[in-house]
Amino acid sequence: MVDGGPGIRFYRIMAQSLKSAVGRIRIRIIAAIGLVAAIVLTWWMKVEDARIPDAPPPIAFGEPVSVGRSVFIPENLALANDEKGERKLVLTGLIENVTGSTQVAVFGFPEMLPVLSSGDTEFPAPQVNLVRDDDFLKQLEPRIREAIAIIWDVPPDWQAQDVSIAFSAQQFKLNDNLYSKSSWLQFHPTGRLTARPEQGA
Amino acid sequence: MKNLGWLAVTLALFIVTLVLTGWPAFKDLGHQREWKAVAASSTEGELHGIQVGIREVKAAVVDNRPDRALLFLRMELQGPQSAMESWTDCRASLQSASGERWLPIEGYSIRAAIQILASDGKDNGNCSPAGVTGNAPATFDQIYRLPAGELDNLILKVSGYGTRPEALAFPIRPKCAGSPRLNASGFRCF
Amino acid sequence: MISVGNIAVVLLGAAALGGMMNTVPDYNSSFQPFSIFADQDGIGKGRQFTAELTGLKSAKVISYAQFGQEVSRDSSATFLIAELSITGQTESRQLEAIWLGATGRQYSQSARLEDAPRNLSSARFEPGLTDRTIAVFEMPEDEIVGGRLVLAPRASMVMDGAVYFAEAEAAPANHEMLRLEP
Repeated sequence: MVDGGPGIRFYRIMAQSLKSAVGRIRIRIIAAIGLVAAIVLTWWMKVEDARIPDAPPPIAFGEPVSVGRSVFIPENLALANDEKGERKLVLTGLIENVTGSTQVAVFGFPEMLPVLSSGDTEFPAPQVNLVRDDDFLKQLEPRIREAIAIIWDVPPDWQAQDVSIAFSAQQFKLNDNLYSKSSWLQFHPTGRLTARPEQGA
Repeated sequence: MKNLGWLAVTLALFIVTLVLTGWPAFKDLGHQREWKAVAASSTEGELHGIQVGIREVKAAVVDNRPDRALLFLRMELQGPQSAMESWTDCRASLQSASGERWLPIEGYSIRAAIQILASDGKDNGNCSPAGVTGNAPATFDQIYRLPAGELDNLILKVSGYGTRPEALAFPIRPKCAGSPRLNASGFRCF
Repeated sequence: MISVGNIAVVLLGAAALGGMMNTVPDYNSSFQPFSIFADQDGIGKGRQFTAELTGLKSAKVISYAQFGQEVSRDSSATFLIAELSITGQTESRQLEAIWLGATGRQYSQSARLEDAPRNLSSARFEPGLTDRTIAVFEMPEDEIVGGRLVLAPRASMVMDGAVYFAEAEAAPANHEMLRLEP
């Protein structure tokens, strides 16, 4: 027996406190890993939800495509001459307002009309006509499906070939991040129609 | 008792905060309202460097509705361009003694009556800062639609964004645009 | 040891805070105009106008003359024409009308008939003068019975009051073709 040095009781207490210290550190490390995992998982889920599909899905005539505040069903694409003899590409279809109030900005605000591309030619912005009145589409009422015609001016150097029309929809958020008011945010592509225009009257 | 001192300090600072944050909003409200009326004679007035003159005032009763009248008013603005820029815009309105306010008509279908009522048959448009230079007076025409019973006690208020809450107040004496029906409905022609 | 009273106070505070947070009205429901309801005679007194709903009509086709030319508008649903008699109160004002349909959808005035004679969208109401005007809407037939008309100052609806008329209880008189006269 050595006198004056630490006894066995001291070493036993030390060993116990060391075990509980390691246990405490282990518990804390596990808790930290769990917390970080929860945060990363939540972020990942939010990013996945907000992700926009890369390529817009292809649509055919007769299939509905969302354009944000309304749903458009393209029916026919024709190359026609207007009264002055100029060539126009006319896409006719049915459109229905799916919001709860009368919409003046049928294709979103600021407006994003369907974009026509064909070969290398640049097409100007189209005009949207209400077939019933043969005049501009001024507004669309909910639950009333109207026939519309989307008319593009054709540049003189364009030959009859396949065209592709891209539709975009504006994202609606009931409570946005700034004022918690309902607002229409950014556009994302919702469909692409590829067709060859028929020769019309 | 010592808490009362802190409460008093809080109240004082609260009032100071209210005044500091509300002062720009109060000034903005002053630019929209015409609180201070600058008296003018029935034909001439001057406000912030611009001379305003009333040239023609004519009232006519609508044929099939004798209870309502059209009032045509021609006025001239003259002054240096810097004074007109301090006015920024020009707003004219008719007010009655009970506080009702009539604004000039913008729709072309009723404004067509100006060409009938005006002595030279021209419509110079509503009051606007464009065209007011120091050289010659700029003429502006307005037409108002109001009840025939209110033609007695009207005040024309003319002001600009930069002059409000001050506004020129002209007492208006319309001349009859020649119709005996006006006397029958109780309106006195001057 | 924390006393039971302290725990109770903390829980009460948390409950009050949770209740307030869950019931605070959001932006969408706060930014609404004040509601003024018309009395049983159909007269509603707004701040700047007094309006009376004198009749409701429905039609499939509406026609009117504009600049000497005939204009005719038809609809796959139906047109609703609200006849109003409006008196200005304090200041010259333009108004707008909305139909709150039976399903809760809001229908604004039809822009296809903007230049119809005596249309509300081109009328301005002066203090002291009573004018008769019409508001034309286009909507499916089942939105009419159970819906109501709302009249509000144009472009400052949120900061002012809107007059709510009584709900339409019966289907209005239907015309196949309605002609609007000035």
